[in-house]
Amino acid sequence: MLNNAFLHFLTRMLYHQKNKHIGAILISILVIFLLSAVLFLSTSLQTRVQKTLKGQSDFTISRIQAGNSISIPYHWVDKVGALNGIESVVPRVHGRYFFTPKGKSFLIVGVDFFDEQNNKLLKSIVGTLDLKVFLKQDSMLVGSGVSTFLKQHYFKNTFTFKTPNGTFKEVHIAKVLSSKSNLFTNDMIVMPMHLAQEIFGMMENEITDITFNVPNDAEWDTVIEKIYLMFYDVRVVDKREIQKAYESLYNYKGGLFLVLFLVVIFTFILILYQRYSMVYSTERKEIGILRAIGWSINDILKLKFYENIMIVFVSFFWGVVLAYGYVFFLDAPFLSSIFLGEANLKNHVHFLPVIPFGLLGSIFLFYAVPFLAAVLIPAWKIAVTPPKEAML
Amino acid sequence: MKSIWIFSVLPLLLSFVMIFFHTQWRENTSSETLINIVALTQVVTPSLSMDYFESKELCNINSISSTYPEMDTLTRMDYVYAK
Repeated sequence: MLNNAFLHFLTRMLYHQKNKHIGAILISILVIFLLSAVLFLSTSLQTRVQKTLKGQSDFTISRIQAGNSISIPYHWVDKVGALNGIESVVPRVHGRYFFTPKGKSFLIVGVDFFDEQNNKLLKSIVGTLDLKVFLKQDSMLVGSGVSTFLKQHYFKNTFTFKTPNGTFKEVHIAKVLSSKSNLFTNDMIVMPMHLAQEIFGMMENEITDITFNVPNDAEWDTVIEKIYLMFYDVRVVDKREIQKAYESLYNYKGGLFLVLFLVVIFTFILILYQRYSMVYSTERKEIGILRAIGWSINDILKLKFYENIMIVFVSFFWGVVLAYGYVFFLDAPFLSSIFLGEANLKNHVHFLPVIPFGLLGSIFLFYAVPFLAAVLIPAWKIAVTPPKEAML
Repeated sequence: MKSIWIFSVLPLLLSFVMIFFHTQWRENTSSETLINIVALTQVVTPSLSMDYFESKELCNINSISSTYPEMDTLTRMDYVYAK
């Protein structure tokens, strides 16, 4: 039946009845666009975070008191470093600084700028930076979100921090971190470790937590056990847990939209089914005429199948392409705030283009199969009735 | 003629633009910057725009789900990023 005459009839029919299909196509495009955009976003963020997590140390030790994280004495770094199988032990000083007048907060990270490795990394991140000038006065590097916020509030070259002692600390803004790294550095301020300690009101011999690597995977459990035996009030978190947590977070948010999609698709399919199975619908007459002029039930089902599979493909293609453009060309305005939040500093992220083919395939099946069923089942019901009855 | 353009030429053009953009994305540059920043700061938390007093638990997963027991609770992250 798939000959030239059949194809000609099919295309003529699609063209003449375009107004009938346009509603279904537009609704389908909208639903697929929304779901694909959310999935593109969540997959892109997940991929980016998982890729970057590779640079993170294997373990982090935090000290816990009454369920809250507290400072760690600096000499613990040497104690941890003395354990066998451990390397790259790094003390961290970090925390959030709350800017009370505007109710916004920044993430302050203290870095040891005298470390040779850190120096190299710094050069690759910010390019030219005269460290002598940077360290001569109290200076900091700020993320682009922080920079925009400070400029908006007339802090052009310096910012004054209020320490817990009630004193003020004026810090020079040396450079702005690249907007390419906005996903991690939008609200970040990088400064020398001693300055961060001063702003947080910490003593010189206090740090926030300790990170370290254990190159041999087989030793991971032994090392954790040793740490717990050495200190009784610590929590050791390994990289795999953080990886899992982020995976769950983005799956959870994407999953919410998937549930919504299923509800919308189900409603849409019900409406379609109702439309095709209406007693006085034009569909009945059309099928009755075709049966009367000699078309078999099989031919009618084929016609309906090809007609609707074209609608499915067109809607799916446009939905996915528009979602791709919206997320990766336009950086998903409005929708990105669901994943990145907007309560603090505004973040503008360029999303890493990732196409989740498996997920798109599933969406296609979840959409195409019920869609075709909602059209073909009523069409078959009409086709098996005598043409005279169908045309009534 | 208009519909032919919309249904055949435009999708083809868009597909080419999409494929070109996807293959030409300079992923290495931005990835390298991010990996270097993580190596320097040792902080790998995405810069989520959240309230200062908002809990770091971004969704209400406080207990292990019986239907998906492999999923880790997000509260564990608080020990690392609580401050």
